[in-house]
Formats: sequence, structure tokens, C-alpha cells
Amino acid sequence: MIEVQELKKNFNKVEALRGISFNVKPGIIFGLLGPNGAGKTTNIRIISTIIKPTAGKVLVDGIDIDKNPDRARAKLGILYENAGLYRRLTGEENVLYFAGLFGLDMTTAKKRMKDFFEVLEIDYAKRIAGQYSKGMSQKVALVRALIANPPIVMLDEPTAGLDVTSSVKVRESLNYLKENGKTVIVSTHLMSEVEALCDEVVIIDRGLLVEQGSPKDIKNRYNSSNLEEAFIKVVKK
Amino acid sequence: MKTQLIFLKELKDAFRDKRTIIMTIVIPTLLIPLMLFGQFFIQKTEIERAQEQVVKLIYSGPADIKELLVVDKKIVFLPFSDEIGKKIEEKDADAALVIQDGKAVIHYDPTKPTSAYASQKLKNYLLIYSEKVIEARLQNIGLDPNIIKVFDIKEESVASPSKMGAFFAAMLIPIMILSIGISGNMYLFSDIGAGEKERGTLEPLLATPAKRQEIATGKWLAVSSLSFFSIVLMLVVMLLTINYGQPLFLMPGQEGASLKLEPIALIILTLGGLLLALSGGALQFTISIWARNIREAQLYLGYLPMVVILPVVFLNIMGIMGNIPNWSYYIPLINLYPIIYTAIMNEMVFSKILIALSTNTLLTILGIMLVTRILNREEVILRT
Repeated sequence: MIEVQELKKNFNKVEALRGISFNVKPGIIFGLLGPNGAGKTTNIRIISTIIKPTAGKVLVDGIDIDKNPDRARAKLGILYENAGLYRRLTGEENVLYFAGLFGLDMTTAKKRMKDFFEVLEIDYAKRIAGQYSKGMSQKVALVRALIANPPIVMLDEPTAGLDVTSSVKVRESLNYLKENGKTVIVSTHLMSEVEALCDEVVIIDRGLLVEQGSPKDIKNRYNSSNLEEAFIKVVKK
Repeated sequence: MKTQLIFLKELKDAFRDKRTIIMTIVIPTLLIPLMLFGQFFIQKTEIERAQEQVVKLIYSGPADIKELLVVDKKIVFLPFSDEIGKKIEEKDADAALVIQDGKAVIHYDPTKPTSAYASQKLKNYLLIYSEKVIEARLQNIGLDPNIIKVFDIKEESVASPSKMGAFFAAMLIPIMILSIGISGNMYLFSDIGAGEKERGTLEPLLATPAKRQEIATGKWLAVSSLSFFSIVLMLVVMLLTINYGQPLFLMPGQEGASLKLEPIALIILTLGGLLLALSGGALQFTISIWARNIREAQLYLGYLPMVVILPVVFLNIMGIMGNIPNWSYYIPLINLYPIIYTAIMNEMVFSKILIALSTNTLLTILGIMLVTRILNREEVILRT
């Protein structure tokens, strides 16, 4: 579903990504792991065409993002760590605005939005987003990411700064997405989250891909009882 | 289609901000009437106050002059003092008149309005006195006092009330339109560019299938259309105030003015306002999207009115003197001043309008191209 080939990214003299390659198969939850500053967000920004790679290639559902960035973006729904809602618009208006930008007709968008609001127990979407807590914003932003029914959903630190209840809700929604045939890429540094959710992971450290496989394989490879322990061994290697 | 969607969203977003109502509707509606009423109110109050003012005078001089002054009940005589300067400085006296050896000296403080008024009043009395003395002297030697009068001077204006109205409006309106156009929606431009970066809403927007050009155009058109609305509103209020509001602020005996614009002048004024909104908007949006955050954007945008208005103030003076230089038509934004000025004065030159149209269109296209390019430059869109 996503092919990342020899991806490099330099910010002036800093090498943020140093030749990363991985494939994300369709219909799985894929974890992008690494300590702070490892290059996870840079990866997501390149895939979402916000920034251009210094070298390498990315295919999103077979589309070369360098040649057809608009078409590639139409395949992606993205949830950012900062929800990025328009604070003077209501939750509904935020979602419908993005539905329009993805070219969705309003009847379908409204029906789909209502369904998502029910699943995520959002009953505050008629209020303006400036009144929401971080958890409330994240849930609306998730609906905004899903409204166009994209085949791939990317989530950058989706539970960062959320309370326990909201985190659980977001985690449940990732399984819901998988059950509904979506390919989910989640970038996080929370190992428990990854262990519970992800089918496959890659670990990035200082711009290099240092490990990949299923959480179970990585634990076995490093003879660890949990992924956190294995992760520490990987990044210290 | 996506441009239209972005345009409508930006309008909705803007109108939920109270500042938009204030800057787009309230200020343009109230500014012209307030300035006119304010100016005439102050003028009227000052004249009334001066008429009521009692002058505290220190006097030393011939008795016949004092007799002339005593008749005026608004003059109070104070005992003579050697410390005239100190008395005036401490406001114990408004002025002093010392007449000695054929010399009349008025002591006053020009920085104090009451003292300056007292000096003027004394000058008038001294002139009246001088005329009376000359009249008496001429009569004494058997001559007709009219012998020294060559002619009576009387001024008569040939300008119609409409021309006076246009002259008056041309002094005021172009600067006000340029100010509203270049700074009225400054906060909205800083909001749609730097503000989106700062709040983290730009990245999700750029990750949609909308093209960068559609995003840039939709946002720019939305805020520019609000600026255009403000300019048109201001023009309408200006016409209504000058033509129908005068009885409310003119003093008895004061001559009025009217402002009747030819249809072509109205079209040129509207076109000038549109160009100002679009090209000024493109420039403000470029600055805003380049800035790191709202604060930085507002700082840069805060200098823009100075850059545009300062040359326009000089042009305004030259315009009043009937000499707008040709070079001013070649500088975008600034050239809208002579366009608006000449439209109001009904002195339009179409070749110059064409130059202004071209240069501002060029600025607009460059601005939007630049914003579109900036939206593709990660080092700019990701810096906050």
C-alpha cells in the first residue's frame, strides 16, 4: 500500500532521514517507532507531500508522490498530534470543510459524519472547536481524517497529551479502522500502544531504520519480555 | 470549485470574529461622518468659546485707547505689573499691551490659545484705533478720509458647490480609502497566513487534495473581498454624508458643498477600490505567509501602511496644489491615490488609469504566485 524506497531528508546540514526503506501491506496497523527526533514526523510529512525528500521515492497506493502529489493526498487521511481544527468553526463544519476539499458530496459526507460521530461518541460537534478539550479535538480531527473514506490513515502521535479515556477511545478506533479494511500507519513512542495494536513495526533511530518486523518477532529477537525492553536494546545497539 | 469552498470557509470564519464586523462594517460606516462632524464640531466649539472668552489684560498706555477697550465687556483690566512675562506664564493675565513713544507692544504667549486669542483681539482694536486716528487727522487738514482707500476688496468664488464638494472630498477620501484598503483587514491577513501556521491548521489543509494555488487564491479572494466591501461602503457613506448630512454640521451662514460624480468617475472609483483590495491583499497575504507567526506578521504588516501612506501624504499635498507627478502612476498601490483623486475631481486621464491597472494587476499576479510558491516551500511553511 505504501512503498518507501531509500528515503533521505536533509534539513540544511542535519540528516533527518538517512536512506530508509520499508513497505506497508494493505489492511494492517503499521507502527512507526522511534525516540523523539528520530525522524517519524519527517517520514509522515514526506508521505503526505508536505515536504519533499532529498532523495528516494515514495509510492502511495502505486502513485508516485513526486509526480502526482494531489492524487496521492486523496488516498490519505491524516491525524496530527495537534488536531489543527479551525477554532471558530464547529466540529461539524470542520469535518464538512475537509469533506469538500476531498471532493465528497455533502449528502454522503453528512451521513458518514453522523455515523462516525456515533461510533466515537461525539455529541458536541455543533459547538465551536475553540471550546473543545484536546481529547475532544482529536476525536473530531480523526473523523475529519476519515470522512473521505481514504484507504490509508496516518496518525502522528495520536494519543499524546490525551487523558486515559480519550486514549482508549482513539486506540479502539484504530482497531475499528483495521476491521473496516483501512491501512493504518501510526507514529508513536508509546511501546505499550504499539504492542497492543500493531501488526508490523519499523524502529527508526537518528534517521536510520534499525529494526523491523512484528512486535512479537522483535521481542523474540532481543529476548525481551515486552516491546519497551526490546526497543531500548535496539536503540542502544 | 475548491477555491470557492476555501473562499466561503474563510468568509464564514472571518465573520465569526467580532473584529471583522468592526473593521469591515462599523469603522468604514462611522469614520467619514465622525471625521466631518468632528471637524466641524471642534471648529464651531472653538469659535463659540473664543466669543465667550474674557481677556485678562495688563495695560499701560494712552487713556483714549483704554476707553476704546473698556467698551468691550469681555476685557478685564488688571493692575500694571513689571512682571508681565511671569503673569502671562502663570495664567494670571492673558496678554499685556504697552504703548509708549509711538510703539505698541503686545506681550503674549503663542503656546497658550487664550493668550493667542487675546493678542489677536488687541491687534484688531489697535487697527480700528489706527483707522480712526488717520480718519480724524485727514479731516483736520480738510481731506476726505476715503482718499487713502484705493478700492474695496471682495472675494467671490466661481467654484460651484459641486466643485467645492469634490475638492473637499479629494483631500480626504483617497487617503482614507488607501488606509482602509491597506490596513483595515491586516489582522485577517495575518490570521489566514501566519495564523494558520501558528495554530497548526495549515499542515492538515496542505495535506488535502486541494492544489496550493486553489488554497492561495481562495484565501486571498475571501479577505480581499472584505476589503473591497469596506471600501465601497466607505464611498457610499461619503457620498451620503457630503450630499445629505451637511445641514447637521454646517454653521449658520457657512456655505455648503455637494458631490456629484459622473457615472464614469464612479466606475473608476470602484475599479480603484477593487485594485487596491486585490493588489494590497496579495501583498499583505505574501507578507503574512512568509512570517513565522502572527506576531511577526503583524509587525511586518504594521509597517506597510507607513510605506504606502507616507508617499501618498506628499502626493495629497501636491494634488491640492494641482500638480500630481507622472511618476506616481507607475508605482502600484501608490498610483491608486492619483486615480481616486482625479476620479473625484473629474479630471481622469485614461492612459494613466491604464498604467495603474497594469501595474496593480502585475503586483496581484506576482503576489499570488509568490504565496503559491511559498506554500510549496517547507522551510517557510514549517517554521513557527
